[in-house]
Amino acid sequence: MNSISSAMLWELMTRGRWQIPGWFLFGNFLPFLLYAAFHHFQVDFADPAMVAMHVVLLQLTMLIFGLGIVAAQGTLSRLFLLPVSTHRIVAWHFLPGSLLLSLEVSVSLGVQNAYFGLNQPILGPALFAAAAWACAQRLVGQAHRTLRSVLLASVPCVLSFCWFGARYGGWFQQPVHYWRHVTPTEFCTILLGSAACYLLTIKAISRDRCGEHLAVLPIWRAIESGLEQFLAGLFHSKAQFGSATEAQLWFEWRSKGFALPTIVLFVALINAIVVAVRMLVTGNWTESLQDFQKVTLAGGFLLPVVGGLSGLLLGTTSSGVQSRDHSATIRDLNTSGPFDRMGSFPASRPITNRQYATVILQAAVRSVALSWGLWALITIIAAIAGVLTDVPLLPQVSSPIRNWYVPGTLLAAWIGMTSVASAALTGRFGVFSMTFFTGILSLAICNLLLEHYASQQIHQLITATFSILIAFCVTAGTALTFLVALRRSVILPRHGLRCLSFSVALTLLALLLRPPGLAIAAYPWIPAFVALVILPVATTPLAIEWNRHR
Amino acid sequence: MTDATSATDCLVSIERLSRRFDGKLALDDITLHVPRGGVFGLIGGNGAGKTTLIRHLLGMLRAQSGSVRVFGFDPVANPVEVLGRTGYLSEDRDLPNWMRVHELIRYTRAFYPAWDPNYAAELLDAFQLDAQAHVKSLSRGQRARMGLLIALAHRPELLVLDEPSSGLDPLVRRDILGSIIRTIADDGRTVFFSSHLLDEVEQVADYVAIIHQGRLMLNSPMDYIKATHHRLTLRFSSALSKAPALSGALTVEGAGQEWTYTCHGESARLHHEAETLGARIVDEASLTLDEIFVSQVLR
Repeated sequence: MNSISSAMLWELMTRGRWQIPGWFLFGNFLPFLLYAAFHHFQVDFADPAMVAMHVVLLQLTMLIFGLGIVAAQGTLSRLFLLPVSTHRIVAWHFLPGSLLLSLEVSVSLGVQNAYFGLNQPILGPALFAAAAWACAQRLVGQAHRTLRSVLLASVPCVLSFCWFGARYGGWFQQPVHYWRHVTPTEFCTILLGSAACYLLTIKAISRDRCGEHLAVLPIWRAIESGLEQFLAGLFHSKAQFGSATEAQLWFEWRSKGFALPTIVLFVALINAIVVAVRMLVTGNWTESLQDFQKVTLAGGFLLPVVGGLSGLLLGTTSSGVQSRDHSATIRDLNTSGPFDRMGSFPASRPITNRQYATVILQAAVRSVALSWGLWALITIIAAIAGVLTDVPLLPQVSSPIRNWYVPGTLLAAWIGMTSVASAALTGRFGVFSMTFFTGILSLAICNLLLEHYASQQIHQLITATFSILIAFCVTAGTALTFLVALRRSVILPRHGLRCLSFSVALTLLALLLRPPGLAIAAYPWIPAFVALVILPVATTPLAIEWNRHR
Repeated sequence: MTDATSATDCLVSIERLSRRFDGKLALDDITLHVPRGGVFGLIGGNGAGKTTLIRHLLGMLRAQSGSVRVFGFDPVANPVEVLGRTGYLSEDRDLPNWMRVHELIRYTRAFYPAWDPNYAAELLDAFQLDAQAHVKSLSRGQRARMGLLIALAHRPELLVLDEPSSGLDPLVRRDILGSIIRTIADDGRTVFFSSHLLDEVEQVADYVAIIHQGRLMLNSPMDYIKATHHRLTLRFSSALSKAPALSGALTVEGAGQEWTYTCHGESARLHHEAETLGARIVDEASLTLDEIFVSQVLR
């Protein structure tokens, strides 16, 4: 290691050796799930709606890949005391980050193209990814961890993504074509945008490095104070809590649980603003309303994903303070982080693991119910608006799953949130996520091999058999987990019985509402899905026990 | 070695506790009994195993071998029974950053039926903490005081402090921490604290245990430790190339006729042994805890 630049690069690659591939797999999870579903239902990939899908998913995956790189790079401020110039710090965050993000986007799109026979462009998105990274770094450099700075720095980010969307059609218009050819003007725009971000970040970091922050306008102070008062009112609680669990529920809800409803509200607001702007720009009310309805319905599909991300937050119990154990080694550099072992503060609360788990589940119930309620309300508003303007909503939900869609979004959001929360509560989230995504990746590769080397009949037979096997494993695994939880006394027998009754009732209901002509291989997935709904009742206390008493 | 107390009538009872982290032995066959009432100081260098031992007391680590009992309960199986009667200040000062000071007090109060709001207010005043301040904006010393406040305000039977002085200024350390620890002990309650600041342990501790590389080197009442550790300078009749063996000697240095020993043992026995070796005691002094620690670790 003969230079600070190479040391920073080494740190990125060492810390990120698991994180970067992990977040890459995570970022690809949703696109693969969606495209696999479309592939299964033989949706035409040449459909213009796929362009919009490509634009939305690409931005989402870019965001997730970027998070992985940011996590691997660590905070900039720790480098402030090193004998290294600000421009070098910024450059060595910009360059590897931009290159990695470009590479991840290229590989991701390339694999999707190869696997599903899509024809998505790669060059434009890859170049944009590099610029987007620069923009994100600018945001980080500017942020100073204050609301006003984040809002201020978000403007170029939003503008850059609007510019990206406009490559697929006009500004504030539905994407209609792929961005296949990068013109010299577009290339120069990306280059100039990146350079501007680089210079602004240097300026911001230089200021941050000597503790000099942006001047605060009085209006910002007023906004921040108002927001704080609003939040204080929102989370207002009694002068004294009635019990330890009541206090802990307040803690979980106030610090983590409200994230999901806030995200749903924020996305709905952005969606409404975008639609309103589009209406004003294009004057096409019908198309804008249809878009609003589509995004709202798709939002239901995204609830489990956002629920999963919020579950990660809900399940995080580690201390914000870096471990100073004597056993800290290079392994800790790779593994310690926000999803590490339970912090000493929560671990030393005098409540049982069962009580703690109940509180976590109560916070999850409240969070999912409120978010889903918000989504349902917005969907109803969209439907009413549609009825009033002759743009019907319900036909947009494909008929085979219509009966399951609305309750499915609720249950899937619950599963998404609680399963990720349980994995995070173990304090070993990295191991779980890597195992999960590696499993998915292995399945995808096996499927690809079968598709190419086996006859269609054999491929279908193996796929169906495997699917049934996995469904049985999920159901049996849930039963086994409950037995373990009962044996370790982390759940009460009466709770186990209630879960059993609930799962039987829900399975029967799902069977009653099943779509006509449901494939045989799909039937075992009904109890498996129901099992996943009740699974957190057993996994949450087990995870807490495993993490709290190592 | 004299144990601090016998296994009966003790608040904390650790029997043959061992712990490994990724193959590295962090605690090696520790047996320790903490008597009810008084101040128990656990001393050791960085990485000696102090925090690991404390985490076992609070049930944050499960005993891999051996057993841990606090108030007669297994802290892993009975967290409410143990943690509800224990106040704990962690080494990392882990507190929820997003809360305000008054919110943290209100939140913590819910966990302890014996919470004394008047005492909490007194401590808030004594520690000069702003009730409206965000925890994240507190300095390290203020965080330590905040942690102390919520550990003390329910008047716990057992107060566990992991490196309590870390981050506290000398004034707070001497006037507040010292007096609090003594007051609790005088109330008949128990303080178990770890530190590597030996002068402060020497001032307040009634019992001391020395831990080094995961092993318990010494575990006795402070008075006994002070009475049984000596520095003896012996003069021999002729120059010696090597110091003669003296039972209980921990370290030895010198040359020729004069050799200085740090010893562990009864004074009379050491005198007798020196005479047997044909040496004359030219100087004898008792050791400070700092010197005792160094000699125990270096032996």
